Amino acid sequence: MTNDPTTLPAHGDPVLRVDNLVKEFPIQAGLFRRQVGLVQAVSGVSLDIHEHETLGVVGESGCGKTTLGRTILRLLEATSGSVTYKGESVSGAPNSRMRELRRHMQIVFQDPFASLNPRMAVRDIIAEPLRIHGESRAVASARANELIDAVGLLSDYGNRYPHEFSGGQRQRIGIARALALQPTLIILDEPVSALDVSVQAQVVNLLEDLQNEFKLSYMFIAHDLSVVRHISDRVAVMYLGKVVEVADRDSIYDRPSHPYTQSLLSAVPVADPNAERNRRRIVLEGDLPSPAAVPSGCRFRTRCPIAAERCSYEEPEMQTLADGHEVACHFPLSPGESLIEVAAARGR
Amino acid sequence: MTEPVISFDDLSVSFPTDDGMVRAVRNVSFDVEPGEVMAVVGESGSGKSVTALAAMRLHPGSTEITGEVRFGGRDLLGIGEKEMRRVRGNGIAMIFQDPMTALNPVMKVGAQIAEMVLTHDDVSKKEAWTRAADLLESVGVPEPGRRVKQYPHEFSGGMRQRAMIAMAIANGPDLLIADEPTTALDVTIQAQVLEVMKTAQEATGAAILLITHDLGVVAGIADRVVVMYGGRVFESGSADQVFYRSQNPYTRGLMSSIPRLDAPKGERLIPIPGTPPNVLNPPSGCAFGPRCAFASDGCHEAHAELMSVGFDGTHRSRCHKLAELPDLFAAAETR
Amino acid sequence: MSDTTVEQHQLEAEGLSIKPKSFGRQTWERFRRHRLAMISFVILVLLISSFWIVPILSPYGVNEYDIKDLSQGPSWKHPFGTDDIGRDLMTRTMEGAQVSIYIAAVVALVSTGIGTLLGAFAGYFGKWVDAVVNQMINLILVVPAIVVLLVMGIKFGGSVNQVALLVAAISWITIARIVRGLFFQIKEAEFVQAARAAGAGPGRIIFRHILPNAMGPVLVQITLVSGAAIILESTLSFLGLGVTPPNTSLGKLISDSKGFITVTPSRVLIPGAILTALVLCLNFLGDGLRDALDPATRKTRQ
Repeated sequence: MTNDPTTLPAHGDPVLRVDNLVKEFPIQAGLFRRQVGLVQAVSGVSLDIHEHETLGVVGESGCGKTTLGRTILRLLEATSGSVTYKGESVSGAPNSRMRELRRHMQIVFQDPFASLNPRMAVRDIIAEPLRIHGESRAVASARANELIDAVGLLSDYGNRYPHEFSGGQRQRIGIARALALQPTLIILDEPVSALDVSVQAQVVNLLEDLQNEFKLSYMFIAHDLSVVRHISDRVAVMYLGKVVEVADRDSIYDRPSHPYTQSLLSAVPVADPNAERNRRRIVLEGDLPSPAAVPSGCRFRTRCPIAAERCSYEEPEMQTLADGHEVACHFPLSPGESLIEVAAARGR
Repeated sequence: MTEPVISFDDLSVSFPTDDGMVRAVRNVSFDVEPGEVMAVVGESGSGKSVTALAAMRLHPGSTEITGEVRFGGRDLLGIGEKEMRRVRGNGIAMIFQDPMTALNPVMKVGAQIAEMVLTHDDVSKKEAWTRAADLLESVGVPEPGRRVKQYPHEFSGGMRQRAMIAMAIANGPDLLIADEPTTALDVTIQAQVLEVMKTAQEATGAAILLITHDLGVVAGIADRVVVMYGGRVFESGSADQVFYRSQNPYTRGLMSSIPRLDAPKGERLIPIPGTPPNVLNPPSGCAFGPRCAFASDGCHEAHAELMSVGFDGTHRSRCHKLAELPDLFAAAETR
Repeated sequence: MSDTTVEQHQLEAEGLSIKPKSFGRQTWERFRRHRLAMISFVILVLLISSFWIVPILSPYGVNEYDIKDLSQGPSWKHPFGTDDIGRDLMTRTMEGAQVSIYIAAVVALVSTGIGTLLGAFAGYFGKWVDAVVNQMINLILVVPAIVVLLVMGIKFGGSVNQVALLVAAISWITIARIVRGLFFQIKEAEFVQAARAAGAGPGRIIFRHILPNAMGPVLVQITLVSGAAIILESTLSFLGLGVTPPNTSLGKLISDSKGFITVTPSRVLIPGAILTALVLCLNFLGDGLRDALDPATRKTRQ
């Protein structure tokens, strides 16, 4: 296994391009399940993922990050917008072509207890994608054995059933299944957040090793900002269905431009008592608004300490700042500027 | 030194399951001093929650408990159920992980807080409701007058957790037990709730026993820390002792396995190999032995005793290799 | 880490037990601990096998009558007594019970087949498929079952198979409703999403992923449906619309003896007791299966 966590700069054509993707869910009510409204879980997200790159997608629950991942893979059908894989339209692919495309794009789920069929032995779970794509039982089993080894499980485990394993082991099985078809892109939907702290690091390291070994591109969806910083090359921050900021990993953590990014980062608890004593935490007021009733203008304005009048009627466009950050805010913070100080200066 | 609020003395808890006896807590002893925040840290199966539930006597009937839990001058495990009910809420209050299941969904939030007030205080119903609104205000719920008349499902996750805290502090308890109070919440809401807990503690002077797996939360709020693994206390001491001068391979491993927000680029995580022990089939000897980088044959034979490290007796650790640890850690560092 | 031999300490480090347990094996171990269900299971096996063994050993034929012994109570010669035309009731009861069991089995098979298939399609595809199946279920639910059976019984009743199919035509709805509900729930599970993400089509998803995970509750329901089928058949036969002579069944035996309840009460009591025992055992068996299959108690870790 390679031990080289170097990150390649984004270059060339993206492996995956998401353009203005929208996913709406109907709100149904009453006896006849009449549609009474729409929730936009994902409202106009555009992203690129390059070869051998990890794009972290962070946000709080309800921000649409999980829906985004599933809509990209067409586990949910998009309402509008497009997804292209290496220049080929995924959104418009007919069923037969979609089956082929699925070879290239796989997913690892959050809940290791729900993502494995309890009635199938581990080897069959991992071999199944190959069987679906027409491999013989013998070939699929042999490949499954290799994968069991590749994700650091003992080959003896192939005959066991998922319920015997702990969360971390199950997540390895889920990763092996995702690798079975030799994809180029894997969407990792909160792959470590259900795991014990001591086990999370094992899985993160495994994901990094596999990425280097198989030249994978990752979309790493998570709410844990520390893990995202660790694994990502670039990070996209989502709030209420929209991407509010995208930038390189270190840049976004060291110089967050969007007020939401900055408050999110300041809220992350750090396992260091001295750092905790000395830090100034921005405690955001209020709760996340319901996705069924998003605020007008900028969606973050109801909780933003520096919101101005303009924010209430004009939705900010995504703009590229001098330091390369893409940010959707009328008043982005310049590098080094602290939200607390800016807010204080404005008399709030 | 003042009398501790609660002291766990040689507490062991076992319960039967279909697959055999689970010895969830094994000979656990520690104290919580008045007004302090004591964090019990551990992973799944460490016994941290079971310890807390034993203090509240909220465990199922088939559970076997030995040892003592001393609170207010008596052993909570030895008193009658009626007396225990007076202790709950009045002396010890609990904040649960999931406020949605801990609050009654068909009762107004105000009614639930008022009921708490009424069971322990002889006041009129009207006054209890006023108190409920005041309590909600004190935990930062806006428009408390309107909010008391709402049902739990009309509250957001963060607001529900505040309502839970309001209920918990309603009768000015001496001890608040918070079982993973922020685990179900988003980071920005988590920051709010921790803030509220701190404020509530300062206002009431209650001690907090915080059960969590999140070392970040512990670092932010705890005065002292107990680290549990496989049902046993592995290390205990002040937050600084445990975070900066840990004398335990498990605690050290845990610290180095979490990614840090301020870590330099490309730094590789150092995970603990293996999996937390199977509660039904724990390893022989030291529970951490099979995963420990420093373990030798002796570690797999018997478990170590919890020993004092340093001179003032405030820092304790459980490890067969306690004497060699500083050298072992130093050697591991240079590798 | 590619050793094929697994050492004890490796398993300990990974928190695993040494012996792999399959889902079925684990369920069986749980079931064995459910004492009432185990006893019921044993009684059921003994009862049912006796239904087939006793007539073979019996010196009397089913329709062989003995004019000397009419309407006798239990005796050494005729342990269950004789009926009003002198037939040995032990042989007849066993033969009748065979018919009841046969009907229960056919009902279980047919209604599970129809119910599972329709419920699966309704739950998986939703939309109009679900609407159609739901309307069928509602139709059967709103029309009183016994009335339908009576009317249909007059037209189709008589042969054992006809009675069984009639009862099955009503019993499938309980299975269909359970399967439909389970499918709605399980199709959202992440392992099903994972199969879709791998390119699996509806057939594979339904039969390989969802159905095996829905079979637990269905199995429980089958035991209850079988019990209900035995009762329904007896009701029909009691009302004279079930199996017709020379065939007999437990219900028919009770029906035939209703005029003799004062003369030889054992003629009613014995088939009645067997009937009750069968249905009770099936229900307890269902309880045991439910507990053994309940996913809530399945977690090995806290």
